[in-house]
Amino acid sequence: MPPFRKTIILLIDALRYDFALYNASLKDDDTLPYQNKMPVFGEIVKQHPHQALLSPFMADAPTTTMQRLKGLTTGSLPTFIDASLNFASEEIEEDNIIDQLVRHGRRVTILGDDTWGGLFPGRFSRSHLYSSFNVMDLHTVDRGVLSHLGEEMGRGDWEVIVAHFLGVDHCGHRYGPNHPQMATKLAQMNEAVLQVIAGMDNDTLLLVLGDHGMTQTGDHGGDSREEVEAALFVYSPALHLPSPPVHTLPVAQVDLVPTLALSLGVPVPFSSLGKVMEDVLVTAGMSAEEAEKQRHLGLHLNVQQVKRYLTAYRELGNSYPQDLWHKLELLEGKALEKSSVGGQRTAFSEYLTLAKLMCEEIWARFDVQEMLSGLCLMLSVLLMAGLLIHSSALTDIKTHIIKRLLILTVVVNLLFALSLSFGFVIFGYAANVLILLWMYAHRQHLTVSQLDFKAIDCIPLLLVSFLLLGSFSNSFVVVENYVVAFILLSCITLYLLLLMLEIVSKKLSSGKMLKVFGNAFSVTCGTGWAAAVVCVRCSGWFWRCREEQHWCLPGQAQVPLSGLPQHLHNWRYFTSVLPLALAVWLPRRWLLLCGNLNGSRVGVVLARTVPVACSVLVAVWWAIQAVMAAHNLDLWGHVIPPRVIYAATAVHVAVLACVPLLIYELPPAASRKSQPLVSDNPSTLIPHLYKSLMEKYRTQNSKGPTIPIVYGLATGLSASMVAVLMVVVVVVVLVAGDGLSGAVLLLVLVAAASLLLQALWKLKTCHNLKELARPGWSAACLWFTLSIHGFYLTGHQPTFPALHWSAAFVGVEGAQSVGNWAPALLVGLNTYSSYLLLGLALPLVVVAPLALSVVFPSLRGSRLEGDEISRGEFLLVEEPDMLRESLMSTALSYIFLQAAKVFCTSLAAFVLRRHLMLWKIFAPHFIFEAVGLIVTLLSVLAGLGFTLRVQAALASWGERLVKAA
Amino acid sequence: MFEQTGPHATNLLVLKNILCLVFGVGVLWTIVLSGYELASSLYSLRAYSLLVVLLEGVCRYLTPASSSEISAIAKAKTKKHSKIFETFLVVLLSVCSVIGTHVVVVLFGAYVIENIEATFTLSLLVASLAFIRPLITLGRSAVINLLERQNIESEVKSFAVLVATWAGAFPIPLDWDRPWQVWPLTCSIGAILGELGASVYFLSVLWSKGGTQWKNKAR
Repeated sequence: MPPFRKTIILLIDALRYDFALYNASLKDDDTLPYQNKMPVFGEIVKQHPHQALLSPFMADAPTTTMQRLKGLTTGSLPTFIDASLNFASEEIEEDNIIDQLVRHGRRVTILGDDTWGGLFPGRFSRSHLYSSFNVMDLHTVDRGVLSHLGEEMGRGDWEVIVAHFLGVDHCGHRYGPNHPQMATKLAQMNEAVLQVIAGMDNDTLLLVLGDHGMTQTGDHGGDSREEVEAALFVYSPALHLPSPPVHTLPVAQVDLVPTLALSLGVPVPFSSLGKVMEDVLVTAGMSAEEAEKQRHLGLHLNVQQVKRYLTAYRELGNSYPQDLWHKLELLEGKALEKSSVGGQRTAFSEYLTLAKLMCEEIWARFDVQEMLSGLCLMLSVLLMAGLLIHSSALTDIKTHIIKRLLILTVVVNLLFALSLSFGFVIFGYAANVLILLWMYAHRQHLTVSQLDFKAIDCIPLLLVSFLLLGSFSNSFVVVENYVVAFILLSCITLYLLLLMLEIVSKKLSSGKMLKVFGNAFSVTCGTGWAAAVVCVRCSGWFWRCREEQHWCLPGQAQVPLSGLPQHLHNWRYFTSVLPLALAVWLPRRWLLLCGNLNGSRVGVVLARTVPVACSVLVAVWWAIQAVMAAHNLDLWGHVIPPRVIYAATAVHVAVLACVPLLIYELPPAASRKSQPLVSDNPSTLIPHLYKSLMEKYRTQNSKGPTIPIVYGLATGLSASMVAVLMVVVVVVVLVAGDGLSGAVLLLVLVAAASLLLQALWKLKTCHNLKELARPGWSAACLWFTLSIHGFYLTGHQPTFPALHWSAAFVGVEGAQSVGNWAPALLVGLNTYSSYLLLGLALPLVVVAPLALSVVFPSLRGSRLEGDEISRGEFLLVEEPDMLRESLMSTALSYIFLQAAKVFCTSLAAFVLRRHLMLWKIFAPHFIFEAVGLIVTLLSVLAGLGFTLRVQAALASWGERLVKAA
Repeated sequence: MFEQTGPHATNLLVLKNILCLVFGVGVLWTIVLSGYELASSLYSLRAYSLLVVLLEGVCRYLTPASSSEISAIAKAKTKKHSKIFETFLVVLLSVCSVIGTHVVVVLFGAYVIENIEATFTLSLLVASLAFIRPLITLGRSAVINLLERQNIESEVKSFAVLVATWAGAFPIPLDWDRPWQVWPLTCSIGAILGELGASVYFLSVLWSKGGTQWKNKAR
């Protein structure tokens, strides 16, 4: 027989303990607006000391309403990311008190905040929910609740009523606690409590509670005393509490769940860590012995439940601090040994307290010291990277410095391993000191040699720093997709403007529009700009809406084909296949144009076949998926196409890494006569390199007859990279799903247009190869902005509900057979596809001007000697130092910007850790950026390694050629 | 530039810039007084654009032919273009510049169909401040002249207006819920502020020039 039949829970959002406390010593005139406005609690406790209780109700940070509601209903402690199995919906999937009540036939009525509807859809027998979105609105929710509360209490069809008032919280956000509005609001709440008490039955338990408090400015979210200390008021005419203690003990918020469960006679939810308030289980009719027994029973059930949870948690492979766990086991044994009921009771309560303590220890909390040391470490690494980019250490590569840098990296990472036993704070500062010492020791190499920032470098850097500063403002983070697109457009337009200035300044006062802007160069500039800008603007079709973007209408691109209505299926299929085909066809066309797909080298054959075959397979796979979904089939082998694609990609990349040359040597003299001449066959254009090679060999050894003719040598460096990227793009499209193939195409197009603009700028302004091969900050900024834009373009948002879980099942049949890593990898690939693609493609930024000047000689500026530059990328093959240097500086600048972004987001999360929106906006933003940085680092390294490998292969090929000649 | 203009032209320039200042402050004042009410603000912005273009036209009519103009006329004569054709071309290019500005504004993120009136008002404002005025003063090859930095007044003003309009987009995302954050008021106010700044700068340049001239005369 449970102690109570019915319960009314009045949840007054942000009801701080001192709002509810009545201080009789204060005069009315001296009170602050929030003091002594709710005298009902004090009066009732005074009148019925055995039936009522008011105590502090301690919340666990984060003290935001959503996290608190989860804590109050599941009884578990908050973890950093609410680690439920499904991020995609708000619905609570853990065992919780509402589910237990419903399962055992109790009817629950809900009034107030509509967050409850999202957390527990379909659980409530009756509900009156109101939007909690507008923080400025103090009254809608409260008035709605009050207008229905009396009526609902009068009905006989409930066992539990939950009424959630929001006015006090909203009043705090809008005005702060020290405002007359707060007094009015609290008085209204006081009235509401009085009315409920007047209308209560004898077997009803009333709980009035706050989910968190507020600071002096009315905010909450952090772990300060003001935010954590809410109020709890318990009252029932049937209650029989022991004589009130002199000093009221605080109650933890997790204790609510077991207390509520046991007082209504339902099982305690599985993951609850609370300790039952055993005194609340005792009703007035019981004898002293019965009461003791009741308390004992409650605690015993509670201990069994907590133990079940802890054991299950441990069996999942988690570990507890050794000493605490040992102590717990001892306590449990002691409790069972004890014969006296009282002794067992104390042991039980100790057990429960200790269990909660232990779990708090291992779950998240803010550690300011560790955060600070981490931030310092990041800052010093950033400083070092910034110095390295501009120092002489890079301009004339000194290998010993790079080697020493490597040693430093290894030592710092070893320290990281040690930190597991010594704590992160010491590690952070030690590593920091090491890095600073290293920098001091190498100060003569790290001196910044020349700092010539031009407009083309400064303005993009300024724009990017706007973007970085935006991390500190929640509104800018919420609309970051718009901000990034705007900044990307500005960067691209800046290129166009400066190019136009450059063009005009060379043709002074010719006056005629057509003469100045009618040549191939200007037209290419304009076309490149227009293509880039239109592509960026069109990316809006693929953006995903954040929860906070209330104006945003979700597009169709996020819905997979099978989720669309029948009549759209064909349309969607073809609009997905077309971008895929274009994304493969355009690079292929480029390679053909450069003459890199001739002959029968292994790499050439692969580059000709694999991307096309893979894209056909993707189209086939989409068709299979659509058929399966439409007819509810489970075809055998439907996972084969994706797996074949993965395998083919792996083989393709591996083979190209081993034999990366995509060139074709024409068989010498004798057979050459039968070959058609260049001019006869313009479709297979032989790059101009062949002429220069001819001349070179003619001047070097004027023997004459054996002049090698080579197709595609001028783009030999980038061609292999393009061939690899083609296949990676296909895989990315596969994982992104049919709706987003257009987005991937747009990303490829914007990247190509940016490369074009950057190359044109370089060709227009550079005087020598050294300048040409050094892209500088502007290119890094453009590429960085583009990578973030790509993240949003491919339908992502830095929030956990926005992850594309469907990607986990591309080519994976059942999650059990392969473990968790494959689905996790696929979701990661889907989420960070743009970081991966742009990181891999980074070397193209360096070589693009050279490739472009060879393939389209009309774009070549007059400043560069024509003969020299017609050898294209082979120039860099012959100057490995220059290639390495420019690759290094480009990669460093790009990584520097990405790391600066991570630093800003983490600094924002640190500074704003008390912010209302920390858990919704800043913390996820930081996590997404941090993982993105890791992806960037890996992909940039892979791209660099691959390019250097191609360079080595080309160089050794060239040596062989020279020897043969 | 300045050396070639006579005192009459300089006076006209000063007068024009002071009028520009007055108009700019006036339109800002109207917008603020209306409490940033959208419809009336858009109306006053359009009126302001028209007024500015008219002012420029009147000034052009009153100014004696300057060097660039002389060359333009000479060219026109050699190529046998009538003055009417030249005017027609300028009008055509002005319309094109409004449409072009509108397209660029949309490309930079304005809605295509929603708020089209607001977007078009902004394009009208920016185009008339940054493109139509130079077209009136410099003739049809105004864009080239601007990029060649031949006419400092037009160039400074055009660039200031464009950059200020662009910068006016930054306050839009902030969640302050102020009435002036409504599209396109931030950008329009930015454009007018840019224009005001450029006018003040230009007046100060004229002032210092005038000062030296006066001193020279005194000697």
